[in-house]
Amino acid sequence: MKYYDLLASHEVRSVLQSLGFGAGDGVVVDDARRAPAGVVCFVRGGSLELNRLVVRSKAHVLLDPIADGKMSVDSAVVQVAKDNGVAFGISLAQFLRVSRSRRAHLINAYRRLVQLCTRMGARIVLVSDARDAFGIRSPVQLVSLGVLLGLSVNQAKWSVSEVPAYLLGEVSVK
Amino acid sequence: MKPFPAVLREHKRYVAFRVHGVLDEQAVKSALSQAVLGLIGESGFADANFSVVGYAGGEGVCRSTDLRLYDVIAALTLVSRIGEQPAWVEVLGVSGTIRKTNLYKHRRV
Repeated sequence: MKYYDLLASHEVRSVLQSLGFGAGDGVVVDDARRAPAGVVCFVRGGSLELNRLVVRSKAHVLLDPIADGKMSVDSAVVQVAKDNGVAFGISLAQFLRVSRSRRAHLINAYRRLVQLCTRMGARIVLVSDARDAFGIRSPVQLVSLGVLLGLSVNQAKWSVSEVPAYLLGEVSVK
Repeated sequence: MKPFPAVLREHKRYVAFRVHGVLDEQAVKSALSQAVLGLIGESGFADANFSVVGYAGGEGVCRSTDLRLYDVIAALTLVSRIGEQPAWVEVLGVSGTIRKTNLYKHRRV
């Protein structure tokens, strides 16, 4: 099984490959229409209105749909995301940035999102979003983050391997 | 009669890890225990039976049970500072015996 971390800065790419990740590229943009060709396009969410806009756009991944631990995704957003083939991206960096008490609220909100996604069949992708060497983690650690958020072990492995591989394949076909 | 039947014993898992950033043994052991305690709480800590079995030269092995293995790895994942310095913990591998974790420990990044 090949693991991918689609979102990490170029400075840490070589370290990622030595940790066992495959080569794959993603980029965070504000507007999906301005995304460069051939890379997986991540658009950052946060509020319910923003998440609604992103899942209706041509983005491949809605990154960090929950900000500040408030549940900003409803079943309608998940359904539209599933219909449009938009995956939900959960970044490890978001959990590392916040304090312990806010992290607890974040975990709670993401658990509810994961419940919605698994019930409705929407895809989830786990990324590190590392900006420096202190933000990167090994594949098993990204899998453990998924398990912490309510995915089964196989689902978590799938969101670090097969879902990114599918997104990369989709980008290369276009 | 056995004091505790083998079938009821916990299944130990040993996690080999490498610390990047800080190498002080006491600081690392304390930070890892606090991270696990902070994430899964006292009850979870008791279930995990967590302890740092050995640590030297930036690499070490910690113990957990199979029931709480992923919680322990997640706690190690969420370590971003040890003491006042930035650091991160890389999980090298998981095994059922300490002997086999040594195979993971000497793999260089």
